[in-house]
Amino acid sequence: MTTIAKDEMEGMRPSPLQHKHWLETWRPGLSAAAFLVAVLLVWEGIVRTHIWPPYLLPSPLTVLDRLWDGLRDGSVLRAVTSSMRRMAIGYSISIILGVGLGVAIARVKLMEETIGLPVLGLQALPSITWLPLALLWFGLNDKAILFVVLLGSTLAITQATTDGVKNIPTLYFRTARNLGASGPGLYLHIVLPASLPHVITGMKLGWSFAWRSLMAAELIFFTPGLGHLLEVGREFNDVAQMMAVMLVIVMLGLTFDRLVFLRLERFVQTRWGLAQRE
Amino acid sequence: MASQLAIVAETRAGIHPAPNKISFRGVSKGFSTPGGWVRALDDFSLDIAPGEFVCLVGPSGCGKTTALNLAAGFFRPDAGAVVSDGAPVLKAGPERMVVFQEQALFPWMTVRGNVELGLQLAGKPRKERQITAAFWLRRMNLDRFQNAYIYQLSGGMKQRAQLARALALSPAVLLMDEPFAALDALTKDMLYAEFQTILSATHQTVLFITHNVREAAVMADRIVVMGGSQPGRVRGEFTVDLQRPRDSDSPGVTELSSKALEMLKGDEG
Repeated sequence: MTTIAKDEMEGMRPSPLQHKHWLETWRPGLSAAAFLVAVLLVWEGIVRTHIWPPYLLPSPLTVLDRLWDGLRDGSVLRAVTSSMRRMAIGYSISIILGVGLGVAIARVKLMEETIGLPVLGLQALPSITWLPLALLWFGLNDKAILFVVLLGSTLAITQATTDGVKNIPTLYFRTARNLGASGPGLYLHIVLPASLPHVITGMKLGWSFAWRSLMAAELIFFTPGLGHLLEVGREFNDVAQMMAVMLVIVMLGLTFDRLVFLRLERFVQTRWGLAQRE
Repeated sequence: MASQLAIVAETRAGIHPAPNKISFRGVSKGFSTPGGWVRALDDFSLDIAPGEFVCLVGPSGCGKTTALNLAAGFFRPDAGAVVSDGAPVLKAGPERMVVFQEQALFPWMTVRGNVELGLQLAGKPRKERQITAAFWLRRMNLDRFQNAYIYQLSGGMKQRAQLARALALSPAVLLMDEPFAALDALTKDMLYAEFQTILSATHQTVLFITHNVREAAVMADRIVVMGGSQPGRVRGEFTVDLQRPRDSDSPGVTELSSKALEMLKGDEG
C-alpha cells in the first residue's frame, strides 16, 4: 500500500520503470513468438507427412494466402463490418437493458421476487437454443440474429449489475443521503458508478456470450457476416478459407478481451481502490 | 455575521440565548441483535448550543454512535425526538453533515469532485461550486491534490477531504464519528491542531463522538460522558476552559482526560 507524502507530487505519477535487462523486458513476447513458430512448424510438418489430404488439412502458408486474398478482395472486411455492426447494435441494447434490469432487481423488492428467478434460470440456457424460436417469430432476418445476441449478453450483464448494486457498502448510501442525493441523482452519481467494477466484469462476460451467439447464428443465415463466410468455405470445400476466417474471429475476440475489457477492468479496479497497488 | 459572533461569544460565556442547534429530548432507541433486544439509548437528553463543540465520550456499546446516527437522521428514535434548528430530524440531509471514521469518499471522483457533489445535488451553479470547493480545499491544504483520486491519498488527507466536503455545505451541525480513530498518532496530532483552528474560526456547531478521552479534552468545549453501569445514558459532563489551540500533551488536557476517565470507570466495579 502506498500513500503520498504531502510534498511529494511525483508520487502521484507512476514511477519510471526500473532499468531492466532487455531480455527480461521482452521475455514474455519472445516466448509467445517462439511457441507460435513451433506450432506452425509442427503444423507444416504434419501437412508434409500427407496423413491427411491437403484439401482437409492445408498448410499454414495456404491459410495465410487465403486470408490475404480475402483481405484484398474485400470479402473479409465486408463480413467483419456486418458482424461488428450486429454486435454493436445488439450489445449496446443489451448493456442498456442489462444494467437497467440489474439495478431494478437489486433495488426493487418486487422486481427481485418476480423477474429475479427467471433471470437466473434463463442464464443456464445457451442463447443459441433460442434461434429456432427466433426464426419462427422474426423470420430469416437480422432481427432473429439480434434477438439471439441480445439474449446471449443481457442476462450476464443483468446478473453482474445486480451483484454490483447489492454489494455497494451501506456507508456509500448513508453518505449519499447525507449529501442530499435522492431519486435520479442517487442513481446517476452513486449507484451506477459504485457498481461499475461489477458491471464491467458483466460486460466482458456478456461480450463473449454475444460474440459466440452471433457466430453460431450467422452460420445458419444467408446474410453477410463472419459466420456466413465460414459456411461458404464449407460449401466450397475450402478448408483454407474456413481456417482463415477462424483466425479472423480469434483475432477480433482477443482484441476486445485483452485490449478493451482487460484494460478497462484494471483501470476501474485501480481507481476504485480494489486492486493491489504496487 | 456580527450577530452570529455575538451569539458565539455569549455561548462561550455560558449563556444560551439562541435556540439550540441540536437537542435530544428523552430519546430511546433499541436494536434487535442476535443476542436479543439491545437498548442503545435510554431516555437520552442533550442540548448543543450554536457554535458549541460537544464531545460525546464513552466505551464502545455505550450508545454514542447511535446518538450520532439519530442526529444525522439515518434512523428515527423509538421514543423522544431529535430537534435541529427548531424542527424535528426526520431524514438525513446536508444540514447535518457527517464526517465518518471510515473511508466515505467516493473513489470514482476526484477530491474536488467529492467536495462539489453535495453542492451539485443542491442545484448550485457550476461557478459557485468551483469557488466554494476551491476555498475549502485550500483551507484544508488539499489544493494541490484537488485532481487526485481517493486511492492516492493518505489517511489524514482523506479525513481532511471529508471535512472539506462537509463544511462546503455549511451545515447547521457538523457530526463527527470518531474521525481520527483509524489514524496514526503523528497524523492525529497534526489534525487535532488543524481541525481545532478551522472549526473554532468558523464557529461551527459540532457533535463529536470518540472513545478517546484525551482527544475529547483536546477538541471539545464540553465533554459529555456516557456509559458505565447504565448504558445509553449520560453519566456526567465537564466544561473545558482551556486556551486553544490545545496540545494533546499539555497538563490541562492530561488532567481533564484523567478526570473524564475516572468518571467513565467510576461505577463499573
